[in-house]
Amino acid sequence: MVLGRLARAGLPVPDGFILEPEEVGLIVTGNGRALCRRLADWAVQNAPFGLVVRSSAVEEDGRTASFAGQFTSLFTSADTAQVAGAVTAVHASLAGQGARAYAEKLGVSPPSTMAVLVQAAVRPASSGVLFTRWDDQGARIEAVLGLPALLVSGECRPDVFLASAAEMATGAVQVADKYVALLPPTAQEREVLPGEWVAWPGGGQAKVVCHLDRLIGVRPPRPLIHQPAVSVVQRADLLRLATTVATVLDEAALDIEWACDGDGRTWLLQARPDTRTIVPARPPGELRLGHGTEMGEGRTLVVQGQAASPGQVTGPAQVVGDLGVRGGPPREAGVLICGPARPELVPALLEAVGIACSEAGLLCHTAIVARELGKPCITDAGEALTSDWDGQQVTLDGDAGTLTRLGNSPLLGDTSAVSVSERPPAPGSPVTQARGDQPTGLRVIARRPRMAMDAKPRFVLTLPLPGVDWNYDPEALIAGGVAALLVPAEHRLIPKQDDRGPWREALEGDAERSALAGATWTPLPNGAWLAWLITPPTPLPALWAGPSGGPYVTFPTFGNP
Amino acid sequence: MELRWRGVVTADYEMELDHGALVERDLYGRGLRAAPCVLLDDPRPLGRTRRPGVVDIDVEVYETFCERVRERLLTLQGAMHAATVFRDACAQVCSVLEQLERRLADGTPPVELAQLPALLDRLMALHTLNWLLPDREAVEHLTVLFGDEQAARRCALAQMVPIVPAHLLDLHQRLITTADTGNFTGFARAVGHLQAPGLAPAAWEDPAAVAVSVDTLRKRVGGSEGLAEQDDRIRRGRDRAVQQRVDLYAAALLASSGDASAWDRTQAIGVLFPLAADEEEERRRLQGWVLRVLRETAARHHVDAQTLTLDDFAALASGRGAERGRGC
Repeated sequence: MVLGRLARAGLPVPDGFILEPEEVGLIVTGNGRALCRRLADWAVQNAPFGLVVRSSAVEEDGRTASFAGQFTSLFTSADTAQVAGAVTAVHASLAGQGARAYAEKLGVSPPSTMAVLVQAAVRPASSGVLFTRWDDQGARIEAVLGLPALLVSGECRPDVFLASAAEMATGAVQVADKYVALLPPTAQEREVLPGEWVAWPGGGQAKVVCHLDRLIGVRPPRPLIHQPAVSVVQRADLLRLATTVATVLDEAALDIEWACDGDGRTWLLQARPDTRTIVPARPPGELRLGHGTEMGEGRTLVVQGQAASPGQVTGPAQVVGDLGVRGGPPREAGVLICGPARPELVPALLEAVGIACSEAGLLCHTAIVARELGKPCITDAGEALTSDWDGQQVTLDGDAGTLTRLGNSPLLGDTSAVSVSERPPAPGSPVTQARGDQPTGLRVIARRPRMAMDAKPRFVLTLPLPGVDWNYDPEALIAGGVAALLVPAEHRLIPKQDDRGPWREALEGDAERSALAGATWTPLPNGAWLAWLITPPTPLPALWAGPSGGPYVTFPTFGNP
Repeated sequence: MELRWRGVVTADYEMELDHGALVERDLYGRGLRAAPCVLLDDPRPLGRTRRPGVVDIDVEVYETFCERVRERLLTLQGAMHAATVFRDACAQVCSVLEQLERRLADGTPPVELAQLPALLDRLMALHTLNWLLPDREAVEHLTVLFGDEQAARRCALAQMVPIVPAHLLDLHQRLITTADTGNFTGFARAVGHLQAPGLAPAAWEDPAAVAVSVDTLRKRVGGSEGLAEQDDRIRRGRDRAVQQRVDLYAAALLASSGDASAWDRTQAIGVLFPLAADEEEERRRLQGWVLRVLRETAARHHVDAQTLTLDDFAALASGRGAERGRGC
C-alpha cells in the first residue's frame, strides 16, 4: 500500500501488481492459474531476474504495528506454478505463529485478509536500510552488497553510516567485510554450478557459492569486499530520496529499504514508520554482529570465534587489516586484531598480549605463532576487524574463543589497563608446574597414575629442553616416586644402543652429571623417549593397569641441587 | 572453500587464490584428489577436476572419505603413516628442488621437473589435515582422560605446536640475524620468497628491500638491543610452548594408562597434532620454494609461468614447450 503511494508520487518503485485478497483467495484455492500465467508472461518480458512476492496487508507498516518480518517474502521465477506456489506460501504466513504472537504482544488484531504484492526483482549492486531519524543525530544508513535479505534477517554485518547529512558524505561508522552477497538470478543462472562465475551488477564477475531459496549466493568481486558498499554520491542521493519519501508519506521517522542497481538507479523496496519506535529490536547505539551477541549495557559486544591458544587478557584493541594499520599508530601490549599473518606483522604479534585474527581454523599461521609465543588467541574473528574496534578496551578469552568489547570503554590506547590472567586449573586438571619465565629444570606432571606397580604413586617427569642445565640424583627421583622421565623429541636423540645408551646425545656429552646413566630407554612414536628409572614394564600399558587412582595431586617440587 | 549443491561437493581453491597463479590452484586441487591414495592407501582419486583448482566430488564419496580419514588418523598406525608420508615427501621435494636449482645455475635441462608432480601430490595431499584433523574427537578423548574439557582443549592446542619453528617467527629471527651480519643478499636468496605467498616475486627477494626492512625494524625496536630482545622473546616463547606440549603429552599418556586403546589414541594425538602444525609450516616453506623454482624455470624457457599447470611445467623437463605459456 505504501509502495503504491510512493509509485503514484513518481518515486522509483519496481514495477509490479497488487493481488487483492479475493484474487489471492482464488490462487490459494487452486483457481487462479490464468492469473498466475498472466503474471508469469509479464515477468518473462519485464522481469529478467524473476519476481518477488510479498505480503501487503492493510494492517502492515502502520504507526502502531509494522508486522515487519512477520510475513513471508519469496523470490520466484517467471513460471506459472512457481508464482502460484509463492503467492500461496506468502498467504499462509498470515496464519503463522510469528504474526499472531507479534499482534498479541502489541495488543493489536492480526490481519484477517492479505493482499499480495508481485514485483519485478531488482538485481542490486548494493542495498540496505535507511533510518531517517537515528538518536536525533540524523539519518543512519546500513548497507550491504547485493540484496538486503541477509541484512534484515540479521545474518550479516552491514556497513554503517551514521551522521547528519553533511557528515554522511565524509565517513562511515563501520565498513564491514562483505564476503557473500545474495542476488536474484536470471533463468540461466539458476542452473549455474557453484564455483562458476556470473556477472556482477555494475561490472566484473562474482563467483557462485550457493543456491538459496531461488537466490544465488555469490562472492563479490575482490575489490568490493573491503570497500564501502555505497559511494559518497549514492549516500547523498539516498538521503535526498528519503526526504522526499518522508514528505510523501507525511512521516518524519521512517525506515526505508532501498537498492541501487548496476546502472546506478536507486529503488525503493519498502518504507514504513521507524520500527524501532514500535518494537525496539535494536536499541539505539548497539551494533549487530552476524555471529556475535549483544550483552550488557551500552555497546558491549561479543564476537564468537574459535579458541586457538588459551588464556585471557584485557587491553586496548589494535586493529591491523590486510593493508596495514587501519585505526591509528601501533600501541604496545594491546590485543591485536588482525588479518592473515605475514612477516611484517611479526613485531606486532610479539608486542601484543593477545591476538584475534580473521583467519579460520586452529592451524592457520597466526594461531600457530600465537601458541609458540604463548599468547591467548582466537581465530575466525574477522567481524572485529573494523576500525570501530580500534582503541576500544577488549577482553580476549582464548579458552572460550570470544572477543568482548567492553561497555562504555574509553577510546584510547592506555596500556596500563592491560591485564593478563591465567585461569586456575579446574579441579581435577593435570597441573604443570612452571618455574619462572622459562623451563629451568625438571617439571612435574602431577597426575597420579591409576595404579602404581608397588602401590606407591608414580610419576613421569619431563626433561627440559636441550641446553638447560640440570642435574638430579636418580636415587632421589626414584625415592620421590618418579618412574620415568619423558625426553622431548627436540633432543633429537640418536637411537644407538651402545653400553651407555642414547642419553649421551641428549646431555651433550656430560654423562657423569646425568640422572639417566642407568636408565632404560623406550622410544615413543612421536620422537620422544621414556627413560625408565625403574624396571620398565612390558607391555607399556600394563604399567598402569589396575583400579582408578585418587584425585589429581601436585607433586612436590624437586629443587635444583 | 567447500560448496554443496545437488549432491555434489565442490572444493573451490579459486575462491581464496583468485589472485594467484594457475599452478597454485592446481597444486591444491591435485593434492585433494591424491588424498585417498596418500592417507588411506585407496588408489581411486577423489572426485573430478572441473579445472585446475576446482574439484567436484559426490557428497557420499566425500563424506565417506572424510570419515575414514578422521578415523584412521586417530589410530597410532594411521598417524604414523601420515607422518612418514609427510617426512618422505618433504625430503624428496627438497632433493628435487636442490637439483633443479643446480640446473638453473648451470643451464642444463631441468629433467627433474618430471618427478615433481607426483612428489608434490603426496606433499599437498596433507593439506587436507587443515579440515580433516579430528580435533573434536581428540578433545573428547582427552576430556575422558582428564575429566575436564578445558584441560583437554589446552592439551590438544598445546600439541599443535610444530616441531619445526613457525616459518614467520623463523623468518623474523633470520631478519634479526641479517641485521647483525648485513648479508641482505643471502637472506633474499635463502628465504626472501617467503615474505608473500604466490608465484610473483616477493619484495624481499631484492636485497635492497631487505635492507630497508631491516633498517625499519631496527628503528622500531630501538636498535640492536631491541632486536636481541625480540630474538630472545621468540626463543623463550617457543621453549615454553614446546615444554608445555611435552608436559601435557606426558600427562595424557599417564592418564591413558591401563587402557590399551586409549594409550594408542593418545599416542596418535601426540604424533598427529604436531604433524598438522608442521605440515602447515613446512608446506608453506616448500610451496614458496617450489613456486620460486617454477617461476625461474619458466623465465629460462621464455614461457608465462602464470598460465601453466603443474603438468605443463613437468613437460618442460623433456624439452616439450608448454605451448599455452608461449609468447610472454
